[in-house]
Amino acid sequence: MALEESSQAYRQLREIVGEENITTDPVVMDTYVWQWLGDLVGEKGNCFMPLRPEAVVLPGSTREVQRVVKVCNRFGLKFKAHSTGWISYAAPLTEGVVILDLRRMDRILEINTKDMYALIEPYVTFSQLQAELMKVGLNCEVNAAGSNCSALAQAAAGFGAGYGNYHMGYGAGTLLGVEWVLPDGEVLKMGSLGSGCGWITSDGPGPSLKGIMRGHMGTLGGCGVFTKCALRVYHWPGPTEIVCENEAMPGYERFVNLPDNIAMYYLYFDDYEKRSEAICKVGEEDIGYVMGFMQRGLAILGLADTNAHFVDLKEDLFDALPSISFVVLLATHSREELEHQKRVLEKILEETGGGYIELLQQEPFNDVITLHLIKVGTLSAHAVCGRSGAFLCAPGSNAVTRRIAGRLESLSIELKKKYIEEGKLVDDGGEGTWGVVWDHGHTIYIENLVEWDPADPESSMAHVRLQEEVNKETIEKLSYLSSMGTFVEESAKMNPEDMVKLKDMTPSDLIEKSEEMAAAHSPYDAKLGPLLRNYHVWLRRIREQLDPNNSSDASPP
Amino acid sequence: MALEDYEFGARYCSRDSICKFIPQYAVKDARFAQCCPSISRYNVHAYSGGGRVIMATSLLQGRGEISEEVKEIIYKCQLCGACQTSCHIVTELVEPLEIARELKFRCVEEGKENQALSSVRERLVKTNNIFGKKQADRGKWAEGLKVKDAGAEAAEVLFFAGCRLSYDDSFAPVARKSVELMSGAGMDVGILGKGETCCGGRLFDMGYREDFRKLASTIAKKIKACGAKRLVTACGCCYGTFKQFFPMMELDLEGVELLHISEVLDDLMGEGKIELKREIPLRVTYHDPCHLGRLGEPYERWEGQYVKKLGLWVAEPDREVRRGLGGVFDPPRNVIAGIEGIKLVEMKRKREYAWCCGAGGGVLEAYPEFAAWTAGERLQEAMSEGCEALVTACPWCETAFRMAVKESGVGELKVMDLVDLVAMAT
Repeated sequence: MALEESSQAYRQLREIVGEENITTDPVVMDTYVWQWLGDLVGEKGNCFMPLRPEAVVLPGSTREVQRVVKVCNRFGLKFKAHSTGWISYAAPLTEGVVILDLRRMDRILEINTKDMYALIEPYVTFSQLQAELMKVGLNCEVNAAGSNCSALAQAAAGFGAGYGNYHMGYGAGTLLGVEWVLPDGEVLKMGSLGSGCGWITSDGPGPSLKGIMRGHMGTLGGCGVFTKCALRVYHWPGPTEIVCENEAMPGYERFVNLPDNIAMYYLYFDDYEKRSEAICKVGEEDIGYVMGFMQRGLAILGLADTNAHFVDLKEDLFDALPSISFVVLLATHSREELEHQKRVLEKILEETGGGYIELLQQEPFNDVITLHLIKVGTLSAHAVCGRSGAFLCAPGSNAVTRRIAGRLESLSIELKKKYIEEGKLVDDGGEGTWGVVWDHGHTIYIENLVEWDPADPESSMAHVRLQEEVNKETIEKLSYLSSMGTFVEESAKMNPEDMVKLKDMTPSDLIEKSEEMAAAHSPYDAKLGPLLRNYHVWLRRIREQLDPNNSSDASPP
Repeated sequence: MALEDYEFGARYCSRDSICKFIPQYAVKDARFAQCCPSISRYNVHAYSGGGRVIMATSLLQGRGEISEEVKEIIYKCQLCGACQTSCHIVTELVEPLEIARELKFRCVEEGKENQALSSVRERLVKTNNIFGKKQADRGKWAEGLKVKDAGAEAAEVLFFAGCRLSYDDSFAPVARKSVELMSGAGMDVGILGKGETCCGGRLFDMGYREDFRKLASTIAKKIKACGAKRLVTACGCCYGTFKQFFPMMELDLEGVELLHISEVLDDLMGEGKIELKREIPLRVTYHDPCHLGRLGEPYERWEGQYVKKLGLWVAEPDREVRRGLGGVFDPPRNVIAGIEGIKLVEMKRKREYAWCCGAGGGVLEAYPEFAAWTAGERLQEAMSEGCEALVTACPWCETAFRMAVKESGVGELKVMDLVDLVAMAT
């Protein structure tokens, strides 16, 4: 139900944001309800999520956000904030939600070259931030989801990984001072900012609130609103502007005068152990600027211009490319340093029996891959969402050790092929894994990507069934669980019977119970929580303190 | 086509907001990263290309109606096509531009048309020009000019002036100089004069599909009847109408080569048939008119079907993904760069991802403030490159920019037509 225009709540919200920045029109609000993954929880074959908001408002400042939140508290409304809003949980998950679209808060407030941070508002995208940073010889970690996404959202409220994690750390790790409108409308200045010491660290005097604020996955818009944050930025040895041609032609982008201190190397290995060893050595030798890997099926999805082109390219390339690989971009301060790093890389290849994938080192692929590694752009979206309309990571997707990464990568291939042969999932040859390397090879972040047709209920359900199967296999073969992004530490110590019980909690159960889950989240928590040190109890306690009126529209953990 | 015909592709919008920005690899400045005037000015997601796609889906599924608010959103769109360029980098199935236009058609069909545009349509249909002026005055711009009456005698080249050049006195010099430059280079040029009518492009983009068909059919017959081999226009909007809307509506100009004056001047200068005598010491930038640039790419009707291959929808027969790359981009730049003394600098948003001038889609007529805001944004962009002049190749763009210069006071930036610039150098 939309708010009545005559209601007190509506009138107060309108007074805060202005007539132009509020809507309760059902068709207009539907543009906030249609979401990627909506087909899994809403009506089948359709991406409209089940619930419409009460209203959508677009505040333009922290003060306006604060006032909107207070109105929601006053009138028993819930609220949820989002920036670019590109996933199902950006839509309301319960009744009575006011959506805060933060699009009007889109300023880069400061780039501090001395203390190496950028101060931004929620709707600054990675591409905007990176472009401004490069002008002054700096760079930021860019979420591999796409440079069209909000830089603040990833660091403060969500989760994401990118090629830059190798050198620049993972998104949440770059978070410094934060301005946070709490669920009751009070403003909390976190980190050094709270002590009047500027934005330079997320940990001020006393205990850090960062873990409470975001945990591992972030609260996904479900616990207050982050209105400003500072992000750590890093040195960029490349040009102040990346000039290229054919920016609107996927697969045909070309650099204009890329300096000779930057080079991409796509490497293959005979087995996952050797790859793991090579990644470790690259990190130990402290060479490379960004690093990641894409299995060949996924790489071809990204390199193809159109779906028809993909069909041809898969035929031509799939068997010609090795299955086990990773890619590294060297970006150095000089041509000489690049030569040095290349010699080190060659030595590592010698020791691990690896080699260069010559086919991808050449045109037309070299520039496309290099550009993607530096700027990310929309190639990821083009490879997955843009092709079929929907994708998700199968279970087994998360931060793992290098060795487990290889096992996970191989595990999903055969399971996926069955559904591909049925014509229910996109045929990437089963090899759609994508991953990045964190902190100089310390950890691998991996996603086993699956693409399906959201307009075809059978295709959506094939993905769900695959999720169940991969989950089961992961538990049975690897004593490892990573369902919906939750990593089980010390899994070997866990009671196997408890792990088996998880089979009762399938993704299809989640889907069937989506309304109930959205209302209470309890089915998920009740089953998974006890196996994970009762995280849900702790989360609830934190939440009760931060959100006494239960005003935030919290997403499932 | 009808809105329903685009429903299939609309289901594959993932709401990634990519349609709001220029191609991500092209972003070189935070200030000039947006591509869509509508979402940039009004912010609510429904104003974006993707938002229009979702609104259409909502309407088609009967989840709501075209309310006053929805109608306002539908009409506050220049149909500049920037959303489509960006969207089609990611997916080929969704057609945000065509859906945005179909929504205007749907408003008209349901009797929910914009009142300001209804008046424009009335006078356009009545007088065959957008200003409601007399047909007899249409050829006045050419008085005293040595040019053939193409309705009466054969000419190899037909110069099509369009409404703005015909009736707006401030643009008459552009039309006259176009003819003079071509004739001076030895081309056999004719005009239709008072026999010319509006190309109809404005009607099409304001939602009046059937009115466009009638008007455009008439002018198509006249153009073909005069027997000219080449049709030349100095108006970006007329160019786009002939290049895209005519084939879209199956209107036939077969056998007639369509050229924009910039293409002709580029050729003539290349062949040394236009002598440039004067140096022009000016730092200029070039604004790509939407209908000459990304919307000026050739249009080929596709009648096929999508079949599933490897789990993906594949067009059969092959279908070109429209990203605006086939528009007229280089000829005007070549012309400018060919003038001695000029320093041509590019803006951050250029070619297929250029920012719109704000005048299209009926916005200039229905929402002049929004049009001026859009043009003002472009002027700011030109100023940020330290330019003294902004050159364009469409009188509608120039009109919007002049309005914005006046209203926003962006300083001393000159707004010029490409033909004027060449004439200054001769």
